Amino acid sequence: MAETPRDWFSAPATAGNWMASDGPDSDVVVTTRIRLARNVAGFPFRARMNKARATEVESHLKERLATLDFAQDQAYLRLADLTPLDVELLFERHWISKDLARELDGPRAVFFSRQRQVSVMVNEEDHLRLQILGPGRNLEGLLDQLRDVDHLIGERVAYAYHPRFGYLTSCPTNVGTGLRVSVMLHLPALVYSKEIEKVFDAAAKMKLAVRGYYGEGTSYLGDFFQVSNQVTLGRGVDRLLGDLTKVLPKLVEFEHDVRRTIAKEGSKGLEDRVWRAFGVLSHARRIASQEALELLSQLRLGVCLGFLPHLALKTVNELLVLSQPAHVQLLAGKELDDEKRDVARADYIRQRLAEKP
Amino acid sequence: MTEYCQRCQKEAAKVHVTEIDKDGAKALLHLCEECAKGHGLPAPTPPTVLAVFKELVDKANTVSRTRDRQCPECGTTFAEFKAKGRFGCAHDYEVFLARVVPLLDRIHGASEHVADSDAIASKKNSSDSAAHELKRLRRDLQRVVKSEAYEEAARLRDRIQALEKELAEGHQLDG
Repeated sequence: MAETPRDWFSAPATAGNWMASDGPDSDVVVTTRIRLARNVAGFPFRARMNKARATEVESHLKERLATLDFAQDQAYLRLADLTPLDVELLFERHWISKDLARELDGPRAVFFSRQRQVSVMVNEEDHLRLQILGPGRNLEGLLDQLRDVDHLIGERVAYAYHPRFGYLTSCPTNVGTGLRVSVMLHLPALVYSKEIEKVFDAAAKMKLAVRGYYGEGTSYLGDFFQVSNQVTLGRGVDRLLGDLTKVLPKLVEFEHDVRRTIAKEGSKGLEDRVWRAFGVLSHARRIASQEALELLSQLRLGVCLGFLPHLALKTVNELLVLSQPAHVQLLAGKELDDEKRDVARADYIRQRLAEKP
Repeated sequence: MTEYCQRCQKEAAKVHVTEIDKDGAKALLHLCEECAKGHGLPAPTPPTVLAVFKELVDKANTVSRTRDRQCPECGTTFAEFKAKGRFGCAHDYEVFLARVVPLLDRIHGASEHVADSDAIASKKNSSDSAAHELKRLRRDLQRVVKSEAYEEAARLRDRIQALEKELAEGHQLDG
């Protein structure tokens, strides 16, 4: 019996590995995702692809991706062969996009290696979406690894490429490099002090996009923001990455400044909010996933500010992953309806928060 | 052969008139401009406002017909692209080139790709690609050693050694 996402993601201790829990700025820079959009020459893009052609692209890519040999744990999964729970698990781990998991139809698949934190979505908006996830802000290292994968796939698949426009994509906002670097930042102090608008303004001026917790087309949750490049053409990959790397420390510094100011003023407001969140999470008997995310975000800030010395950042990161709907069912070992999920979620969080360090 | 005016027999006939008399009999007259005037016929008129307008409308129709040009490969029109925001195939970029360039300028502030030295498209030769592979394998090795996956590490080490040998031999041949 082949392994499924359920088997892979069953160990709670590794749930937060793609998020930073130590190292400089891990209190603000949570995780980085880099992706490259590619299409296969000779096939229409998704907007003009009927089911037969989509199936052809999928088989074409399956065959070629199978010849890759870069990690022993690589796997190719057709979404149609997975249970809805497995698909949701892949989405909650940010392995596949919301669109691939929920919005798009037709033959879709994902190729990936857990060890490398690399995944390749097949028949997303583009035929191929290569992505890599990693904790913190090791952008260059992650980019290097993703380039390797791109290089290997490029040796096996004829990419749609134009001498003037570069890699051709379904949407002109991705053409050229096809690169999107998204860094997830936790900015609770900027939200608390209502300074976050300045981040949006500055980002817009620098042609950076600010997106929600699950990426494009998702809402802002728990003070988590994904900052990413909007421009993909006219600058090389290194320059695009460099532009973002220059801005990031400024955003991190801004959040740090506000946190320091709040701490210096000795205002009990923020501390009170953190402890209230801790109170609810430690005692509630039923909790919905969005409320859990919002409260865990407060807890995360509390840990970083030293209000909760008995709690590790790693634990909060794990809980952020494990309190999502599919993960709650994974931990329970069975499918649960909304109400039962809320109870199971509250039980699990209570139990984890009661653990002795 | 030039046809001369039937009246003066001097100038070239430029006005051709069909005259119909009271009994309904037709007569074909070929006259020069001067004699035609004397014959009570109007000189060719300058274009009217209406005519100019009609011409403009015709031109506009031709333009909008080019706008609605279809990609011969996938059948997408520019109007369809505008509605969806998605191209139908790779050829659309070339088919709608004149409109794609300003669009890209608006989105990216540029319309030319800057290829990076590491890209596939820069058409590397095979020894380059072997060197690249070697670099990758070495990095992999470091990572798996760190995670204490010794079996995988041994496998990588063997591949690195094989590749190093291959590259060294290749260089000797070159030399």
